[in-house]
Amino acid sequence: MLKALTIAKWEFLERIKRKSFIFSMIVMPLLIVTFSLLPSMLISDIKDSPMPLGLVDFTNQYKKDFSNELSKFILPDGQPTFLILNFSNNGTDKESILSFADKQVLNNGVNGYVIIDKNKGLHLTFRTNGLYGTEKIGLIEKTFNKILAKRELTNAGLNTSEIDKVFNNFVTLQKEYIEGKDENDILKSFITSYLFIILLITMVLFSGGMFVRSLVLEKSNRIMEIILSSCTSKQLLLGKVLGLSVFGLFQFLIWFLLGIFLYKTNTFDFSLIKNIEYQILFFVVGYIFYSSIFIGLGSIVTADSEAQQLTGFLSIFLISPILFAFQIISSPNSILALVLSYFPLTAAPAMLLRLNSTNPSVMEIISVISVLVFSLYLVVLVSSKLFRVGLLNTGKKPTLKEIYAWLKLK
Amino acid sequence: MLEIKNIKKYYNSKPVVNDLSFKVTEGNIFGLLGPNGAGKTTTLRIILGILLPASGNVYFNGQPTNESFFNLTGYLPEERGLYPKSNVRNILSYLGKLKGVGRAKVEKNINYWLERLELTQYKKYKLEELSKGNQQKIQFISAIIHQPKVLILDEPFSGFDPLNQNIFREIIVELSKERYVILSTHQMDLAESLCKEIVLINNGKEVISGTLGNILSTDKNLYEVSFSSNITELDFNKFNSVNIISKKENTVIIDLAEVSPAYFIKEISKLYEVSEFKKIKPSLHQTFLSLINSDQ
Repeated sequence: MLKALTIAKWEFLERIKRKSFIFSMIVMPLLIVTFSLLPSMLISDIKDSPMPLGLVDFTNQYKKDFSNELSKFILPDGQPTFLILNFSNNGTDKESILSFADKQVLNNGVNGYVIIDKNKGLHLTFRTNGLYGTEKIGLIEKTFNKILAKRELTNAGLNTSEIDKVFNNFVTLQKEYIEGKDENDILKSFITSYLFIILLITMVLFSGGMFVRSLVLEKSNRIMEIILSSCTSKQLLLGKVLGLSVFGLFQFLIWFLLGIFLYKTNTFDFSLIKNIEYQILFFVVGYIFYSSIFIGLGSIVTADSEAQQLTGFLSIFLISPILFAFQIISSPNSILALVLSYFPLTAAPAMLLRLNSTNPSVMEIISVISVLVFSLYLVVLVSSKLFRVGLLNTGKKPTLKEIYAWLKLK
Repeated sequence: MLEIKNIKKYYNSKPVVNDLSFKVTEGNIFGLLGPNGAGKTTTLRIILGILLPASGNVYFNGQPTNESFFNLTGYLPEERGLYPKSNVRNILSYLGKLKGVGRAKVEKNINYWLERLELTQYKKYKLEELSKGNQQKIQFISAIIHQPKVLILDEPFSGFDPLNQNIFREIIVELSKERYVILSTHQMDLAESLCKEIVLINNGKEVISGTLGNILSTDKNLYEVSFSSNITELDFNKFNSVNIISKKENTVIIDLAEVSPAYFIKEISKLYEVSEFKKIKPSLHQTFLSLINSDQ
């Protein structure tokens, strides 16, 4: 045990002294902060800024009423929703006015403009060059129709108070969310779901990759022979696993401290992460599971390039649930989500995604954890066997037949 | 006494060490010799406990070796390399502690050996920052930092210049006085000058073993024959049992085995113009070649 601890201490200290580790400790928190702030930054940008809107009224009958009505829409922070710019007089003819208005859009002076024209009937057109948001388009359309309706009612002989009464009796559709979140909160939850997965992927690939590279180095320059003349392969395996685990834990601790900082400074809304206790559970079990695979892989590979290939291969499984993130989050109990949850190589990241958008039953969580733990047991069995036999294998990548023969060795 | 008894090892059903036995006594340097692929490294790995034999055992002081034997051995492998990105002190300290030595003693030994080999100033250098020769010295120190009772050296002088070879030759002789030292090498002159006992193996089997004196005085009938001109191809077909040990320009060393010298010189003179013919005392190199040739 003492030798295993000596190896673990060496593995841990040698890794944290590396420049790559120090670099990762700076880059990772930056990424985390960015990922934490990005959703709210993006959403606040969409929701809170007044939007410049151009207006071209060729009929010369609606621009005043239209501007007045649109300016009644106010954002939560008190700013107007629309900033109306009248382009109707910027040109001598229709063509030149439209050309001017187009230029304003292309030069980002306005996000788009509304054309009111009368040609075999009244036409309302919205010209834009990008995203404007369906909700705001709806507001523009609704406002114009309101003006038209008011004029019709006036023509029909209703006075102002009667007209107001008609409009005041209109019912607005209210949206309600079962868990009290609005669309922005759901978007935030969706993006923050990535946080744990990205942490998991980074930790697994970084520490696992480091582990494999160190094994390859030890094998290729024959330090392995010196080490194996000092301890048993079991002690070496135990020492390496301990060192790798403490290294992972150390990384996690630093990020955890960063999380506390973000929480204390209200930079990141932790209430958006659902089932945090289960997320941590799947994170830890997933990390140990993938690390064990790396131990087995490290025993097989004989060169850095092979190590990179195998790391890349493993990362496909880690990343694959992200490719289906939309489907998993929008339908967390679909067959795809369930298959990815019960397939050991994708279980941890898939569950991290699902846990943020649904509340799986305790039975389901126990089932998935059982699958992961059983797979972990099998991986440790295979990895320790490959580790024992593969340590002295250098120069030539073993064939599948040889690996099978190693596994059969007693 | 370190005793290797009837060890066998197979790779893909092919024997690489085949019923090999020998004894190493304290205070002597024991030579494990053989051509490439003879099974030397596998034998050393079995002694060190890195590999398990298919059968047979390694005994130390009459007891089969176990995990505790790890702490008694020091190993300098033929292919060298330590941790290039780590500093010299940390590497030596780690390898010393891995051999069960306490921190204080390891530090003391590190300081002693670095000073003795004039490497103190490199103590905090990364290994990769040292010259190749100095890296070799650090590797050597790593094998002896824990003062092992059994020291196993596989081609210890490869990579050393003649000056350093002399320094390490003296150190090995000094260390061997109270230790069991096994030296595996291709350099026969080195083995001849350092070893008192040797075992020569080929194809995993013992070819000959014993004290160097006995081996060199075996019944080899070695003669040096010089010809007046450079002979490109010697025709010794009529002397079936004669072995050519070595050939250099117009001189060959041959083992006449059971052929009479008088008969040989009479017959060979009919074919070539012989300028000199004399009996020689075999060197270990010549004996090695002779034995390996006759074994094949």
